[in-house]
Amino acid sequence: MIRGINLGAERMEHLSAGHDGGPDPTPVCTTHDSPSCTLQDKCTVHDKCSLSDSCNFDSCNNDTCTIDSCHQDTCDIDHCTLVDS
Amino acid sequence: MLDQLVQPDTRLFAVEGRDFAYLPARNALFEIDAEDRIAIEAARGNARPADAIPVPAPAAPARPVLSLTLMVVQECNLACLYCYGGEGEYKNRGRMSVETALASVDHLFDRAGNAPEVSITFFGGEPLLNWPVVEAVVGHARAREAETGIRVGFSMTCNGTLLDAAKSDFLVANRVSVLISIDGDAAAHDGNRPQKGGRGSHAQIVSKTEPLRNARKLSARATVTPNNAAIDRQVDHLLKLGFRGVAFSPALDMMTPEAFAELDAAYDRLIDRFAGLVEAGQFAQAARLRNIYALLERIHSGRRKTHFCGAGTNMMAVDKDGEFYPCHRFVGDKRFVLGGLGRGEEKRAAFIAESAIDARDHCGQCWARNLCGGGCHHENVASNGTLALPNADYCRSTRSQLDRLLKVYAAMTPAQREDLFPA
Repeated sequence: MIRGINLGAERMEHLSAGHDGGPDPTPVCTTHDSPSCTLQDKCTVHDKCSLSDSCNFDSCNNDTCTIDSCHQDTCDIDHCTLVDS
Repeated sequence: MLDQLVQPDTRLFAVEGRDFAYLPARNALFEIDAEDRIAIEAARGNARPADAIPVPAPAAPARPVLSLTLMVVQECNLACLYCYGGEGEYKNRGRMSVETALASVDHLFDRAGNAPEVSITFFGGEPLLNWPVVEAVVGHARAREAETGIRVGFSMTCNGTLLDAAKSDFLVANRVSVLISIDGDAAAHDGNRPQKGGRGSHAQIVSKTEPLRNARKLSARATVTPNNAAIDRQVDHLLKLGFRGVAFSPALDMMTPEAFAELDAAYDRLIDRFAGLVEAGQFAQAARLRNIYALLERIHSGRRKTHFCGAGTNMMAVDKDGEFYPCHRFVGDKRFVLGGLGRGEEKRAAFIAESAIDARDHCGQCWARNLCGGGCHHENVASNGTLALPNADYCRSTRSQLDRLLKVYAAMTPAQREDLFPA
């Protein structure tokens, strides 16, 4: 039994099954400052906000925020923000 | 699939009697049978790196810069012991003009292409010392947002000593995400971050940030030195003060071997706490431990970290005179000027290539390379004079954390992972 645990493993299994995996997702952070880039309380528009503690701003009242703006992809550093696609 | 797991650097480990294999080349984690483990151990002595692994498509050579850090002021009212900017002045004391700031905003929007969102960070020095530029940038960027349809997000890293009601209201109203630099309790913080003149700054920060902390609008970032290496205690202090989340990072040039040992022990305690919170279903609380959460998210995503961070790749810092640098830390080091307002970004592509993890021989054999990204570019230069060689203590500490976190992640249930990392 070999069972994929994380999304990287799932992508490998997908490729091994003969599917086109497309380009490897290799994101780059947009941010700075050392190993802690994690922050950013900026809310983003997203379709779920399962972590109730996560939203900060009034504009996020109803929808969407996630823990930090890095959720889209990227970064690990302080004011991480956007990401690549 | 088994043949793909037979790599020289495949990391095998067991958690609670279950076997796992982590494949560094793809950031892929698998649960395996004991028979598979034995087979991998037996076969991998003959394996060549990347045998049978689909080769990832190369990253785009140059992405547009989507995030700008504006050094709105290269002056500061504090005299932090570890400041890489020479008390915030970066060898070039002064304040950014409104004209330079707005031209920087235009540079960002004009080159964003079809990106849905761009980001602007106010930095310094102490950015609140140049408040008129902050207001002007927000107004101009909002106008460009309306004109182009490209959303803009704002953030600011400041020391909190100059916050007042009007500034706080403006920051909240304009959705500027504010990160306060504070190193823990008064004893720890004041030893690291005195005011010019020597008095501590902790009491002033706690007082000035109180309204925004109470409104849950602030996050904190602590720098670790021998003064506060037992950082888990300082994280507790900051969370109790009402900061929404706390991240920390060591000032490598100040860390002694003893302080690093203390920091490693603190990491272990934080990881234990994180695992306990996940076990108890308190995912939001766990996520407030930002360092731990970020590394676990990296493991979860399976994405390769091609660069340590976005410095130079899709972010840049603009100094007060309009010169471009990979990030705020490089400001003032002319070897790393990437371009400038009116000239373009002529050296950015070369920096992207040079700073990639795949360009680093030293990291090439490290199992943690694609989770780590090769260390902070600036810290590498400060420690070893080159982008390509990370600080040795950083490497050891990072590998130790990632080794533990792989096991924490492997031990989670699928439901816990889903709650912690919503799709």
